[in-house]
Amino acid sequence: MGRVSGLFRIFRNKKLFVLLIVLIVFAAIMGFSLGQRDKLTWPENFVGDTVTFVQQWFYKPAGYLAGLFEDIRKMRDIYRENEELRRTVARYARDRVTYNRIELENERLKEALAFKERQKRMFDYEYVIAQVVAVSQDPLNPTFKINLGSTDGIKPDMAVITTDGLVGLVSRVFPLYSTVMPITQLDSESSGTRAISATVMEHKESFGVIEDYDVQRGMLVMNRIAENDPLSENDVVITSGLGGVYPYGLVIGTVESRQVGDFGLTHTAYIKPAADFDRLTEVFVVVPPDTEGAAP
Amino acid sequence: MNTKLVIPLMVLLFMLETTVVPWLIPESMHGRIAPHFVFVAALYAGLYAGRHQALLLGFFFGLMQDIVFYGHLLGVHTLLMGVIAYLTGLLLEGKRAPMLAALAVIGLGCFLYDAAAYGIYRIFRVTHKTFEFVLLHSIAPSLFLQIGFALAVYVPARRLFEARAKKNADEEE
Repeated sequence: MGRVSGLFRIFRNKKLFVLLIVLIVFAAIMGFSLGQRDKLTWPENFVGDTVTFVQQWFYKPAGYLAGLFEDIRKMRDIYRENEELRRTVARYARDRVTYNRIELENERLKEALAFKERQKRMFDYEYVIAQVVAVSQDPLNPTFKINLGSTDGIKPDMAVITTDGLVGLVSRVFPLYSTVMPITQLDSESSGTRAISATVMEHKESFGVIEDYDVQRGMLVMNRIAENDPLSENDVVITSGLGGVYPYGLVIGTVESRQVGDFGLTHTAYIKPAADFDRLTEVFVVVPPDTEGAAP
Repeated sequence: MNTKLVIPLMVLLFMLETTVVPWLIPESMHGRIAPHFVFVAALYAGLYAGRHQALLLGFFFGLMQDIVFYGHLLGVHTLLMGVIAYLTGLLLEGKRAPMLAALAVIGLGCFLYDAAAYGIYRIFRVTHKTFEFVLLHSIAPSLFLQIGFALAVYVPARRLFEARAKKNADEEE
């Protein structure tokens, strides 16, 4: 009897009642904020942009200082890197000549085949440079902020790359800043992330879907590769542009290993990401051409 | 010592932990060690100032963290920082807990915070990692950083928040 009345007293406790209400309200907020949202409300915009405005004064100087010490420590590496870059530049100069010739020829062929304006501009991506201004400290929500927002024409789901390769997707857009979700958050069982349809630079007919990230190995998992697919180790994996979210031709990484997948019907490959996900300072947002606005 | 000092200091702490601290963490521990310095400060508020101050500080800075780094969903940090700091205050406010007890409570609070955040992300299917993995991969190493930070700021934090509680008590009288 005493125990039962004690139980009732707990429920009559005002604090517990308030806690229950708070839990319900927060569950509702979390559920509501989970999915895709093109526009944020003004309080979110205000708080997000004001705080990030201050954060940007800290991140870059810290990066410079850290980089300074790193540079002194890595003097030897820099010599080697310099050597390598020189070789790359030489190769670039050579490729540039070929590229100019091929581009001209491509233009001519497009004219000849009467390509529509929209089709011609399909791959005219614009690479907008952005500075990273802050990094989240939640391991399960490792977003970072860049200093471009909706006023600069950034929209959710735009791809973000470094000079090495694909880093992530724009997740939420504030007026002056946006959050970027790295591709290490790819998860086939999660509702929010988008898989990357990928192909290989060496073989155009290759196809696979990158939909997971193996944290223990630090590698992306590429599934649904056909058995007779020519994909092999050390191939460079790029986006195929077939999913409609990621643009065409962004470097993702190199194939580390390939084996038969879970169900034995298709193959699975582990991809070593080309980009480094930590200590980012400068990234590029890939802005696809505004195809809706183009003349028919 | 008063609110005029505590809030700017905590804002500064928030700025540092999201911008400077990531550069100090060794590269091999990236994405594993996560500083929760503001949360530790909110727990100190619960221990030495009072549960209502702790609730407000936790709620306010959790909301900031949530909105600024809005990736999957909103509200995780707001709820957890507010509630855990409040509970700490409810259990221990005015008890003048000694250093080891304070560190133990902060360690427990941080563990609870990370574990509950994992739970929420798991419920909303944002992650499907196992708890054992997350525990060993990020929660345990982060805990050491948090306790180290708590130890480093124990004396100034206690002085700051206790002076504040005393002042509040004086005003009430």
